[in-house]
Amino acid sequence: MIELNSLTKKYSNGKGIFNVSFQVKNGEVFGFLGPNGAGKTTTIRHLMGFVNSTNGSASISGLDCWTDAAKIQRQLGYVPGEIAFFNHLTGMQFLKFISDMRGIDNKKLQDSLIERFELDSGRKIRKMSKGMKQKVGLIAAFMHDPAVIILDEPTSGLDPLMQRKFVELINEERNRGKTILMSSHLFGEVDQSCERVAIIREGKIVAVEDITTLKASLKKRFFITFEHKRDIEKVKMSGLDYTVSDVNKVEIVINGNYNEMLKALANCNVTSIDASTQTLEEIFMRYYGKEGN
Amino acid sequence: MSFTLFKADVKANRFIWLLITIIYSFYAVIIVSMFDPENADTMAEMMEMMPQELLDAGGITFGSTLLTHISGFLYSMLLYLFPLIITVIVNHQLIASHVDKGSMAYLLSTSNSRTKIAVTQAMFSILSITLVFTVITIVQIIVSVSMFPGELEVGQFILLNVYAMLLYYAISGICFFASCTSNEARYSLGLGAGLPIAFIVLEMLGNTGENVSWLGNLSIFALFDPDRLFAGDTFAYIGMTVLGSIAVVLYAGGIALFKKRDLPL
Repeated sequence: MIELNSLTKKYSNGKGIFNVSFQVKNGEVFGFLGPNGAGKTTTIRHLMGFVNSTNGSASISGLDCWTDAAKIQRQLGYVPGEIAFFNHLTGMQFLKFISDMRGIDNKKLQDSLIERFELDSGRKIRKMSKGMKQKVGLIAAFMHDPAVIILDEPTSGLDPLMQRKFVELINEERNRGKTILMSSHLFGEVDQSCERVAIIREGKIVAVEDITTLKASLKKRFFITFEHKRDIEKVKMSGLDYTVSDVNKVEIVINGNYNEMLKALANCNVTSIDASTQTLEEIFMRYYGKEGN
Repeated sequence: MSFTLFKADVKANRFIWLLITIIYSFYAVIIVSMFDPENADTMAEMMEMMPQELLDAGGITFGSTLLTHISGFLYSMLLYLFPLIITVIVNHQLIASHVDKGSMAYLLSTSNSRTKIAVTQAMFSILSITLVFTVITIVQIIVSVSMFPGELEVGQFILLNVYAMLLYYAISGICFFASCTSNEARYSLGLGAGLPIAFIVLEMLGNTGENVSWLGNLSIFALFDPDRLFAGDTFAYIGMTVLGSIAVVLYAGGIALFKKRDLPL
């Protein structure tokens, strides 16, 4: 469905993307991960036909992303990473404008999306918060029921409740057979909906993996606080991978061996447990032994 | 051509367009009403009291007929000022501002090709200028005919306005081209406003003395010479042709480059 063949774009400052190749299959939700500045947006610009590649090619549904951009857009929904609308319009006027520009008016779907995201569509876009603008962008991208959806960091600015609604929407759309590509610099953002991910770093694809494989290979970190420092001794004897971070605090690294930790902690007086969210940096550390930026 | 986008352009630009056109019309009415067929000579005396260098720099001349009177006052400095404001702002809004802000991403994601969007914006750009001159021409004809019946050579006056409009097609072409090729607002505005202003300065410098008059010939405004038009000189018609051709090349070039270039969206 979406196909990139050694897509290369060299910018004069030496940055860019180099030999980016991956495929997103029909009906797949695909995550595109990388730290800021790694080339995610540059890659997406090619898919949208905003820039022409130095080398290689990109296609969607067999159509070339540069020469057939307008044709592709008919079946494509896009959420840009940076939100820039027509500030003088209200949310509703903007959605109407986009529908008219497309010549596709699916009022029913539009209304159901407005309801789902609880958008106050009568408000001027200029006066909207970042999260509200993000909702307008999401509705604009989904309201013509496109077959392919490309989202550039879609949940930035959304509050946790809206993020959950977003994940629900993505899962529903996947079940309806849509092909979805979403970029993010946070593992947690793609974790819940994507089946496969590509990881890009410094303009190069470093891995294309199943999300389950990736998750299984990740270590998880727990920060445990004990009531008494003597409990730390019990952790020391358990054979777990740990570091003492304070008199009564330890950091335990787990690699699938959750039960061992639970058994060790069962006899302790634990006052709090925090789990760290996996950052991309940690994935890079794990995979390549190099630090992400 | 996208009618929806055209309507949005009207909405986005109507305020500045109306404001400038109303002020410009207001000036036009005052200048026409200042004409005094009995006292053309008194007027000439009055003008002599003004520093000649100042009048020359502004390209202001005074005429003994209503046509030359209007052309001397309104189709010199004021012509460079009012339509230029509209031209610079409107052309910037049409393309460069959308690219700079990022809203172009939305326009392009609506399955309208770049060519279609650029052509629509070019149409709006040209029509907005055409409408300014249409309004100004009609206002002046109405005022002239009602205040000084039979004094205005209407045919020549319309021709003068066609000439001025062609000049503005070329200037608008510069602004449109700048708008199509700039990634950032400052380049679009810098080039779109800077080049015409540089031409005005050259024209003013060229008018200040014989030995620097060659400077004026470097300006695009040198192609616009109403006196030679009234004299029936072919120069004016060549000027019209050249201005029209410059406009065609710049508009077509702008569209072509916009279609081909990388957009930072």
